[in-house]
Amino acid sequence: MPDVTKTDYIKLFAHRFAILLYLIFSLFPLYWLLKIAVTPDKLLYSEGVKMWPSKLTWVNFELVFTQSEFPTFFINSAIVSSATALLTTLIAAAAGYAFCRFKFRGKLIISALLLITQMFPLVMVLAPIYKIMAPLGLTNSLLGLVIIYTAFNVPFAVFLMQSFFEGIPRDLEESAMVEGCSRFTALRKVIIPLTLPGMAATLGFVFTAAWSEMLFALMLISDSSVSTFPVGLLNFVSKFAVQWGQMMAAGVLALIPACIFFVFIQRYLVQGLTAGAVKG
Amino acid sequence: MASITLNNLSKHFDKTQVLKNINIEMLEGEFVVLVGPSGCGKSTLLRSIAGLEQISGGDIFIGETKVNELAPKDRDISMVFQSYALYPHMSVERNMGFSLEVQKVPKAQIKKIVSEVAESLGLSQLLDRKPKALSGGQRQRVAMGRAIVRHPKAFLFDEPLSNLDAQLRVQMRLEIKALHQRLKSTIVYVTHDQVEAMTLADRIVVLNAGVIQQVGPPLEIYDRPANLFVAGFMGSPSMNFINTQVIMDRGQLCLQTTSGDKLPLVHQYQNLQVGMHISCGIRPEHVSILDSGFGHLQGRVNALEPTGISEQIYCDYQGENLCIYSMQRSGCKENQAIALQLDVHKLHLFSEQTGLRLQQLPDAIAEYKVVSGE
Amino acid sequence: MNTAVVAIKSQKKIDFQRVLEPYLYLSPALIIIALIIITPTIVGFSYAFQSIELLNPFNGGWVGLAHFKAMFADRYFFSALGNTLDWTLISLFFQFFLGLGLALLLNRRFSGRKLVQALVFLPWAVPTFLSGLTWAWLFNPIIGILPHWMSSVGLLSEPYNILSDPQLAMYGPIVANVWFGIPFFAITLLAALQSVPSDLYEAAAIDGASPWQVFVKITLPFLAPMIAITVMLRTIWIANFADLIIVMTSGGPANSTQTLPSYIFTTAYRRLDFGYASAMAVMLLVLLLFYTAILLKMRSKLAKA
Ligand SMILES: Nc1ncnc2c1ncn2[C@@H]1O[C@H](COP(=O)(O)OP(=O)(O)OP(=O)(O)O)[C@@H](O)[C@H]1O
Ligand SMILES: [Mg+2]
Repeated sequence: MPDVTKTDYIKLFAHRFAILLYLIFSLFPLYWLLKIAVTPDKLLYSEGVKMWPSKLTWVNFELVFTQSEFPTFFINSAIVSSATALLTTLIAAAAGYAFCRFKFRGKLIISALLLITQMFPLVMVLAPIYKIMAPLGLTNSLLGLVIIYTAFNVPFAVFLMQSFFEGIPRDLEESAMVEGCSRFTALRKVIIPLTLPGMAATLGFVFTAAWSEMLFALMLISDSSVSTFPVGLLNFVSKFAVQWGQMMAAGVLALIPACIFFVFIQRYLVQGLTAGAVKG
Repeated sequence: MASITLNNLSKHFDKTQVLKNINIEMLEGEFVVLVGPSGCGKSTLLRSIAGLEQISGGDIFIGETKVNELAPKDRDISMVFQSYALYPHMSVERNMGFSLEVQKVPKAQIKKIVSEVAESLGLSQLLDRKPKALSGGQRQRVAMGRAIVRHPKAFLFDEPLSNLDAQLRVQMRLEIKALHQRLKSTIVYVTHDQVEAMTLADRIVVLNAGVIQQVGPPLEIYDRPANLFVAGFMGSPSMNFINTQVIMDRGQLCLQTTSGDKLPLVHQYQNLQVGMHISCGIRPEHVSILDSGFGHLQGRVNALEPTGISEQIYCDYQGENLCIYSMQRSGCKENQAIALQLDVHKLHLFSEQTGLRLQQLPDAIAEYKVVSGE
Repeated sequence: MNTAVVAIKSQKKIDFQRVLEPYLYLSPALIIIALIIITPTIVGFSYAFQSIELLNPFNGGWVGLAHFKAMFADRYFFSALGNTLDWTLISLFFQFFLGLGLALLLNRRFSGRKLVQALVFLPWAVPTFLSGLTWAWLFNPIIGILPHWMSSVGLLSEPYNILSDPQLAMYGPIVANVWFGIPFFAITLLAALQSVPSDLYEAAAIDGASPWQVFVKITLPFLAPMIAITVMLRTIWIANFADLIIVMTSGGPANSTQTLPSYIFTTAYRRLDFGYASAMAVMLLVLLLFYTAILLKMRSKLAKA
């Protein structure tokens, strides 16, 4: 017996130690971002590579809020991401419902099509989309971004919503239909309320995806008043490359909404990824 | 309440035919039980009546109205699902009142109706709970309450008791029976359970592979199964079958088994001819073990299943397994040779060729009645 | 007669509705995908055979295979192709094995597992532009600590920024990519691991299998189909993924980190040469399809064997 416990302790220790290494690797970059953001500019060159500065400051955050365009970028990103999330979830809920509860001609082809769009190189449509959007006045416009993001997020969201609908027994809506509901009323009164958590998860997914998208934004947006966060931050970086503290403070701000949603959708990650198993 | 009439109803999924030419007339207030092996199309038939499946041919009438094209919501029918299908996000009260809510009945009235029905089902204490917080039997009751609340033209039940334990099942069975007597409603009820079918039904419909085998009152089906399938399906333990041939033995018609034993025929049967191959059915309770003598047949005990109140003995005869059901404890041992006596008044004759029952002729039935009256 | 006709008509109407209903629910999704993904893809395909340079609007029209000929003479194209291969394979290798390790570690009960899981998966939620910037900053000797560590371990002669060293620059985005991609593999593999029926493990334990035997004989075969499909899809995804490179190095220095997608993006975004960019995109697509076809073929061969 004592032998067994000894090797068990060693195994336990190795397990915890390995987990600790992963934790450090995952969190250290984010920690560093925060650390530089709260380091006073004066100390950067002398203490920039220390693990913790001798003095803390909120000046960088204040500057970002008051003296830069970041609030605009932040609001633009929030508008685009929320609108995309709402629109995508609605569209995907309808399509997911059709996939889950109907048999129809072309079902297989359509779902194969959705899957294929997931494997397409984005760069392939970059140029044509610019060319198509420009004459419609949809470049330099938040609406243009919302439309594009919605289109590119719909396929995955459909898979997700379909899997959520499939988790709801068919009996429930059939029962409602026998009890006097039309299919649509049954959907509204019985199915939708039960799918709300799933819809929230889809909303969160799409929001984070839209929040971090940057290739289309870089391509289509040049005007800083309609810049989203990635565009604004990258422009700022290339123009004011030495204002480290401010950049990192802005970075921390960009991180916050994503992290909030992450905590919220974490539970659904596994379900979502196994449903689509495709998207990053 | 209304009658339900099915005329030449058929249904296929893609290429597989699931229901073939179903004709039944269910009377107003009648309790009809659908039985049949798994996959024979019971649920499909029920769902077709409810409008959840689109039928491929024939007509469905509820009352005088042809409902082929009506959406489920317009058929005015209640259905109780095997899974109960209670809405998890609604309280018991809302679950029960849902159909009225959809019909835009005033709230106060809904509350009144629901509380009355809940009272009658003993659910009054549970109205605020969510389905998750209910026991199996309570859920079952809520599902029934939900169906009752709206006074539909008919009730459809799809194996409503199969998720309950044995005791609760007996209790709910009695409650459903009482409910039917109180509401005088038309009920179509699907079940696997023989006892449920026998005790609840005014009439039983036996279905196999999408075809109706027999329709009739429970005892009629038990006593005079129309064909080999019904004979083997209804009754537990199920009927024994012995391969025989009709012979004339010293001026008396007999059934001779393959190994040469003879069973005298004491009744007259339609279309019976000497030389015919007959599958002779005998229910386990009509076979007894003789203490002495040879009896009709001699078998060897394969297995014994005492249940306390009764005993089932399985024995080997001509390589077939014969079951004997006895209210006495026989004291037999495995491998013991036994002599079997058959109640020859209770033989069921089926043509091996067609599988159909050979009907006893009327005069014989009179005699049969006298005998069974003893 | 009359009523029969009416009945047939209403039957037709109902059939019509039943047939159309699913398409009604699907239509918004189909329309937006057709307009925003499919149409531009087809248009993009046609661009590959045209000259479309926004900076040079007079230079238009069909050019046949000229772009493809130019591609074969383009030194940068081939170096980008090689870089794409390095970028994809190295990233994939580390993402997969580190992800598998993490999944195995998390597939055990321990107190605080939920919290640990949320924290180690966090990089996945970090917006890609921010991951890129964060790692770019970490590699900067003024504000980042990595060069100092590397030089003190002896990896670098002095603390300088590897992102500006053509020899080493590619490792910058790769490290960021590995950091960002581990959670994806860990999550999918963890889900697969948790779907292995526990009675299999119990049976193996009764048979006296060692942990390693259990892993090789039970866990791996069970995970294999899942691994195959995830790795295939992930390869394509990584090969197409340009964000980190664009943020961290923009393909520099001296094109040493230019992968095919980043090169295509730069060609379209900086030089506004849509024709050539589209031709390269078509090429990339063809290569990826080729890769997928080979992989699927190999899989069906293996399945038969
Ligand atoms: N949607 C469907 N598509 C294709 N075939 C179906 C469908 N629904 C049912 N079937 C088939 O129709 C047959 C009858 O099914 P049904 O559910 O009516 O059987 P059942 O008698 O209720 O069986 P059980 O007693 O097991 O509930 C089965 O063979 C089944 O496989
Ligand atoms: Mg059924």
